[in-house]
Amino acid sequence: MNESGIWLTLSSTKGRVGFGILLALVAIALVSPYVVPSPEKAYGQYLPPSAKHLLGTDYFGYNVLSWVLIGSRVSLLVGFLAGAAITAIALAMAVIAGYFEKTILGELFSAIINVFLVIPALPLLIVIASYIVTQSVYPVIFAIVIISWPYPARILRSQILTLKNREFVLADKGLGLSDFQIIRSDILPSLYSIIFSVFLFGTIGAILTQASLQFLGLGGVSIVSWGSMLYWAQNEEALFSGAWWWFLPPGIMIGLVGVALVLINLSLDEVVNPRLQALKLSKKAKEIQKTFAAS
Amino acid sequence: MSGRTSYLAKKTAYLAVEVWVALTINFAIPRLMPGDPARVLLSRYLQQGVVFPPQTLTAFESLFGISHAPIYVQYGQYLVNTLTGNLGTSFTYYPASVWSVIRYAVPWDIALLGVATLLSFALGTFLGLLVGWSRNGKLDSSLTSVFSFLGAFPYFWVALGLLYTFSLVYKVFPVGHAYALNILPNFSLQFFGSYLYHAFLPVTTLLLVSLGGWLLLTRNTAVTNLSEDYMLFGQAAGLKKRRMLIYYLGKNSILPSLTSFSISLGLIVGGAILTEIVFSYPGIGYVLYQAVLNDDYPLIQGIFFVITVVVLVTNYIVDLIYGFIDPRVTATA
Amino acid sequence: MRQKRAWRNGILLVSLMLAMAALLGLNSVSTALAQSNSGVTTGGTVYVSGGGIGPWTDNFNPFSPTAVDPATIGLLYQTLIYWNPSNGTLNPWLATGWTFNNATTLTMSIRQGVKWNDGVAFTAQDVAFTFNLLKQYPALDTYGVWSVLSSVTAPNNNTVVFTFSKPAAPYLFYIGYYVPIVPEHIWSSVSNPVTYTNSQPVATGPFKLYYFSPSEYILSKNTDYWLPGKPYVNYVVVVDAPSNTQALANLESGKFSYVPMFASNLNNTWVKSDPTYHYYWFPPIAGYQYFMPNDQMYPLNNPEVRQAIAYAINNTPIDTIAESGYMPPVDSIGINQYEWPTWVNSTVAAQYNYSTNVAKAESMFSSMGFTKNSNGILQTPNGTVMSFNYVIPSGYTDWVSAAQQLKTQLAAVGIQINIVGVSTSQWTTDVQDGDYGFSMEEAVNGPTPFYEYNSIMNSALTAPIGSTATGDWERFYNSTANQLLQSWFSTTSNTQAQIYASKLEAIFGQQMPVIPDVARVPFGIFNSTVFTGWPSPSNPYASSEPWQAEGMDVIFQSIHLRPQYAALATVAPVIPSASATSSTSPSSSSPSPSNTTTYVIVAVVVVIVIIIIAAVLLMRRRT
Repeated sequence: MNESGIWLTLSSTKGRVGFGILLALVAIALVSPYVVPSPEKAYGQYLPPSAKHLLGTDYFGYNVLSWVLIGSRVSLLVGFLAGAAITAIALAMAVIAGYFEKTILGELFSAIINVFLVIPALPLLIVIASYIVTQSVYPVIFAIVIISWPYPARILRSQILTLKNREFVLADKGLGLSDFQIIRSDILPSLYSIIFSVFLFGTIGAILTQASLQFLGLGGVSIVSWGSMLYWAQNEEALFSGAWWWFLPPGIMIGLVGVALVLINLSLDEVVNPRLQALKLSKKAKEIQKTFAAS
Repeated sequence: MSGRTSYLAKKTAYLAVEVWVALTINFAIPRLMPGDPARVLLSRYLQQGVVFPPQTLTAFESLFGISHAPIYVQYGQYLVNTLTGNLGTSFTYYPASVWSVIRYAVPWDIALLGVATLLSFALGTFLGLLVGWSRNGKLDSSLTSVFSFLGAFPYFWVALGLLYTFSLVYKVFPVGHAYALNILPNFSLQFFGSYLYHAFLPVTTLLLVSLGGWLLLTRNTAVTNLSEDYMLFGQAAGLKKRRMLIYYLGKNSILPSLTSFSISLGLIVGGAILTEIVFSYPGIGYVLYQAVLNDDYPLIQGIFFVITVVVLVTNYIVDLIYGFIDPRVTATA
Repeated sequence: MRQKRAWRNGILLVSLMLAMAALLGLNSVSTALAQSNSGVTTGGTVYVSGGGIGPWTDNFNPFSPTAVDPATIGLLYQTLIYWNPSNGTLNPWLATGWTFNNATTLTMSIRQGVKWNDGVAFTAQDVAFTFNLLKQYPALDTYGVWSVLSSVTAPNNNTVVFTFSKPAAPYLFYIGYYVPIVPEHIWSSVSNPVTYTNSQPVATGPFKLYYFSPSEYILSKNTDYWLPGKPYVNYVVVVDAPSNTQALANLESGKFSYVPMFASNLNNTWVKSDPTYHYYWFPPIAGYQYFMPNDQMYPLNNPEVRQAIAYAINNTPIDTIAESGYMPPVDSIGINQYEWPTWVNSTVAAQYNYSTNVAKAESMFSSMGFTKNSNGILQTPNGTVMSFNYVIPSGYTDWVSAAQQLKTQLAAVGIQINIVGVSTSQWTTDVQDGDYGFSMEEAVNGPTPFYEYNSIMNSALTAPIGSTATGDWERFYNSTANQLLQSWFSTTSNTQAQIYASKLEAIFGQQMPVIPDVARVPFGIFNSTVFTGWPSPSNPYASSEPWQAEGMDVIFQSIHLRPQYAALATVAPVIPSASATSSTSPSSSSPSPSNTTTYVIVAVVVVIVIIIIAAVLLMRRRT
């Protein structure tokens, strides 16, 4: 369990596929504005998929493929930024609430985590989002982070609570290491895989939340993104008009990002967490039986 | 016994503090937001083409309980009103009280989300145990991946797709509402059937996206527990697989999910906004969405208050039960 | 969300609401409404969409802004005069006639033989009582009629005399069309009429409340209705359809006959599926919407800059893309030419015809000394960059979509637009306070073009930036326009009014206070397969979406079964009951809604049981 563990995920097929999809999407996000025709150029309304428009056109006559490719920028930006911020805040809160459990500060932070845990996230987000000016995605990222950190903070806190009573931590404490040193050299390294996992799920969650918010018309509907595509598709009753090529692709793309991240997480479990590795229980039990028989 | 009493006292004190914090946040949020409630009210009337002299606005302000008193006086009034069950009057559904709007909507959330949460927890935990037991087998990798992947798709997208397919194209299920409008809610079999028919699609979509969470949680605990010594010894001692799965692995692996489960139970009264919007289901989520669109502060506050209190109280009860069962918990108190 | 937009159509926002031409409609007394009912198949139950505003609260107080709509005014309570926006006429309704004895005395004859639906006779005393109730409770007087009235009396059972405190003849429109008349014998004992919810309405309309629930209500025929033989249908069932999808699905399945809401692409979906009986009617007669620059903000305070912007804009794609082709572009002189063809001065309209001309816009900017900076954005001679916030409510999806068109069009000449989508209330505040660069608004619609010009050009309504305006949101000041509006306000001569109008048209076209965009329309989608007699282009007896006041009753007393569906005449709606098969007798009062408290208790019990199960699990672990 160390930093190189994250790169070990590449040794599993799932990890390689996951990283492959993700890299491809990031490449699309970076390159598309220079390659793809402008999403704001209008063609005919509701043209079905053809050689000219691979994914057809939407109600406004825009090329759906352009929107899908350029829309990836917003989703990935929101996902990774919010994912990183969620992880950082959750970790900081968890360390204070967990490691300094017995201090007043620790109690206070624990209480804050507990209160935020019970506030219903999406309703709160909608209330916040309805008041923020939304021509940019950054306020939305801020709002998503505000509502998303408590659950990972709780998971990390409970891990820290277990860790701090482990022999090697107690031993280091006995040796007179400072709290900061212990957190840095004992606690955090043991948490790397969980932190990475928190980041992955934070990213998926942020992408989904942002899309939901846009679907409700609250996350800036004029931003070119998958969420706003779904909003307009629903608003113009795309399915009613039979324009499935407008409704399906954005959802599939969001799912594809999620699937890539889930694959990386699965491979992480396999590679990094030894307890989840394939142990043949019956084989080990047989050994124990032999030991007992021998005695 | 004194340990238990002090534990009870401590938990109750915590509950009181948490409710107070929640109330205060609730009080602060609308006042921190841009836009003053009186102006919001005025704009609401202006949009309806209504023009009246300023004294009428004052009359309506007092009617809706909008006060220009100093903030600490407002805070005091708010605390007293809320704790005595007076949540104010909704702007959107005027003259209905906030309480009556909530009371109309909450039963439908319990009917929909209660069923979905219970089913999801039961099924997810069961499958989690199963795949945990046969970890890294075919069942494990396929179920774990399928449900993890499902959770990665936007919920409303999946729900809209199913709604379109089964309600608009094939017309197997209804497009909206919680029950057929020609039946009055009652305890008859007929009404129950109509409710199930209308709840089928929403519950199914909720199950699809929430099952994965319980499955993974239980699976990971189960896998950890499997390598504990008692499992090894149990198997070495020749205990039957089913017995070990249910009595040893099951009980120890479900426990960690129970706290999350109690929070989910509490959040039932919070509704499911996206589900209710896609399926036109008349729950709290839909009402809250309307309240947000119409700047209905009293209603937003009231809904948040009810949700928070229900969640906190549910947690409190679960904590107490833990405390009375597990002496270790009360000992550390 | 989109159907909400329609709610602002035909709305009167201003406090100076005077129009002499309201008097013009007095003549047309008889309409198609009074026609005999020979050869009409009576009976039947019609289902309509109630729009996405439910669940409803049991509130039938006709003075309450949140009363159950569209039932409360029209189908139940009625007004003295009926305004038909489709042909611009004022028609006798509960009043049979009206005359101004002098500038401050209005006498109305009250219809005889009308009964309240509890059997009590309706008289002039009820009318006088209603108006004096508004005087006593100003919160009920939402149209401010007592700002011009000094007394209302009923000298006998069929006459009401309105005495004005100052000459204000155009207030006839508000007195007649917007005040619902309530029965004295019921309302005199209501302790607080402001908060009264009136769950058992006693009214004069063609229907009676039969059943109410938060998601559906049923109205039944008032057999004592004052128009003989009407209404033709026995029941009207209004169903809450929270989503557009749900409303359209019910329209397609044939359940709904009438859906008053916006839907895109109707020609290719709804009309195509049955061109004979499926239609929609979105006539461009409900005022217009306009692109609104902040006239106090440099450099938009220069009329020449606004003219150049008008040349840069092309309204056609806003119609075809943002508004589905339902809302044709309007002239640039502040009048909807489809709604008021006779009021348009064609010379003025031709002179100020800002048809799209990007080259002209660019040359105008360069002759004013504007230059493009390194980002291709225009700069004024003193260095101010032409970059503006365009504030719109993000819930108004057609405006959001129009904003994208405008953004692209203005970018072509070098004007940068940042679209700022905000909540509806935030937008209202921003517009009232002048806190925007550009925004969009709707012209106020009334029985003459006066209302449009008044709401846009009357600087008495505006306020400096930062203070709250009640009209003239773009903050346009022009003393000539103010004087013309004042003269128009005081005249009773139609010829004079036309002269003032054409002068205002010229000022508008020259000054471009705002840039007119496209016409607004009422939304009505109809399925006339079973029921016929709906308003249509060939029979424009009512607006296709008469939400605001009188009008719904006119539609629902005019529709009737087609003869080939006579078998459906006896079909009654099933009153929701404990068992769907048992039928409740129509005479019984509406059943009480579900006892939700019981459900809450049951639910709490369920939760407790679950917790006990959890506890048992935990306990067994210890043993």
